[in-house]
Amino acid sequence: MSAPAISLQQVSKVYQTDRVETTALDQINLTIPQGEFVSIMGPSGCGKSTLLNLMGLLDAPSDGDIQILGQQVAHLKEKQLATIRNLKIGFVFQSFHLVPDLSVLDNVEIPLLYRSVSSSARRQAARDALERVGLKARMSHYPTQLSGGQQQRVAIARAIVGQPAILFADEPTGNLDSQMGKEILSILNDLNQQSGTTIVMVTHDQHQAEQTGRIIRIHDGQMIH
Amino acid sequence: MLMHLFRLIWNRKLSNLLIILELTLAFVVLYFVSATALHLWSMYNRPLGFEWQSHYSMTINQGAEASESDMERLNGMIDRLEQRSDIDWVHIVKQALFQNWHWSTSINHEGDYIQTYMNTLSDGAAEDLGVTLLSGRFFNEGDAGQAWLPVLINRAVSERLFGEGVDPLGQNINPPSEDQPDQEQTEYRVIGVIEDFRQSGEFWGDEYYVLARFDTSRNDTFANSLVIRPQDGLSATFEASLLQEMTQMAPSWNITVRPLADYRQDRIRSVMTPIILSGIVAGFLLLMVAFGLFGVLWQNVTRRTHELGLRRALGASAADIFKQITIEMMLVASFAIVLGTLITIQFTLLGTFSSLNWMTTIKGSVLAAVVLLMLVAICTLYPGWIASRKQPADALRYE
Repeated sequence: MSAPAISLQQVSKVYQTDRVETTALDQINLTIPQGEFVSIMGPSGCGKSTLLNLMGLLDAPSDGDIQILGQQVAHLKEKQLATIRNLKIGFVFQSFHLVPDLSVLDNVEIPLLYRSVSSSARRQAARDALERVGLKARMSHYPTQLSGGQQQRVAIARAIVGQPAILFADEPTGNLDSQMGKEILSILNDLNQQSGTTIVMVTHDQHQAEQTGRIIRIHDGQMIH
Repeated sequence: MLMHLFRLIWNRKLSNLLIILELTLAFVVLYFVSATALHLWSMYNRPLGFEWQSHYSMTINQGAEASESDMERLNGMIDRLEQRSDIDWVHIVKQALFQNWHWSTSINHEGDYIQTYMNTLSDGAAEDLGVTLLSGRFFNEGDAGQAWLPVLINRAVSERLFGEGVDPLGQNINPPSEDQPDQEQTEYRVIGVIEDFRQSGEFWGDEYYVLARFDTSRNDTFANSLVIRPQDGLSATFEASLLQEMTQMAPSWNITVRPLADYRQDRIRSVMTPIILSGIVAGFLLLMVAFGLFGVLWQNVTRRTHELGLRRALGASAADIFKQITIEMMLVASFAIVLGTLITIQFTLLGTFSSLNWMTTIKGSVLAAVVLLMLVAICTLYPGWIASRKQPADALRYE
């Protein structure tokens, strides 16, 4: 039996300032098997994005253990965490986070810059990823020349260009109209079903969440069963 | 990665324009400081062509146009000096060493004219001053009474007037003009070739030099400058006693006795003082550039917090981010260096400054580029470190 894609045990995150201590997540236990498409729901400020950041190794927990594909990450060094993010994880953000001064193709190849990949192989992989999201014809465009839906598709191409085992999507349709939102969700579904990519998606949209395999609800930093 | 960063910089060329202009200006300033410093250093390291370390200079201002009796008196003074037990030798060196006394003249060989500096030395002076003879001989009494004046030319004059294939010894310079036979012109004959005689010291930049013989038996010419070599174990009262003795012989003359080392030091100081002042001004300018660069880089890194956070999220390590910031700035600086080189090379092509030959230009450009890249690297350290320390989640949240 293969290791779960993500395993969280008693994970907490506390933000501390001089005067205030805020518990964003409180003793979360969660296991997501490989190949599952999970959505995380909850009201604003409940800790959804914090949970996603911890699972995506973008932030460190205050307490608890995180395993990614069976590997404990608590004692890994910064460079080792970066390598896991680069090889195993892809990210799609609500506000796309495309680099405006780079062409679509240059944006998509960014994750491969941090691997030992030749320039030609990198460009080819980026073109293939763009083809998968239906944007091959736009690869020399710049992000400002694209619609919101197209920008998010570029962001998805960038997330999958390195063929990660896990994809984290933080409200990927939050800045899009419903039609564009459907298109993006359809791409994510295809990825999950055709490539077996584990997908964890934060969303406010109940309808979209219902199209995923499991819904995890968070309230005040705690999981609701 | 390099191509990716190059594309990124190129696409941001407008926002990088000001910083490129600032770095270009800094490069041009650095180039001039470096080229000047290298030129001076190269001049300083060239042999002077004579010894000066323990010698004294005696300069004479007789106050009016020299007469025959003045020359007789001067010869008497030389005789007296030679008799002193604390003096090794005394010679006439008409254009005083390490001072602003210069004689420039035009000479020609078979119609090929050059402008050269000249000096006249009495017999034995060149040998005793340790002048390096490459070929031929020094002056002696046998040279007196010739229709031509014997001269020693330096290597540069030899190569310029006679080239490599012709032996300059015995060749005449300034032969009587066939077109104007009445024109009064001294004819010289080359009796020796010397390495060099850099009369005004280490920063003497002119190439051509000719030493002619000073004939002490003639009373129609006067010399205002002597070089004296005292015996070893010089007494503290040497200068004073010398001056007193000479003043007694010529009370109306204004006589100065000083070590050549002092004149040399004055000469170096007079050249170095404006150079050092210019260097200080250039240093402050560079400091301003460094502050500006530091501020711009910091602002640049802050503005790009999202992008750098995104790169961290996509797999860049802190070291990768630091490397990216550094390489980006090095590329921007390299672009400024190329632009600056295109500007500075014009000065060499146009021959604006005689000191800027191609070798100095190349060395000066390389030195300026190295200093500028080091400056940029130093200014990149802290903003690069700040950028690389940010947690990806914090960077992506940054407003």
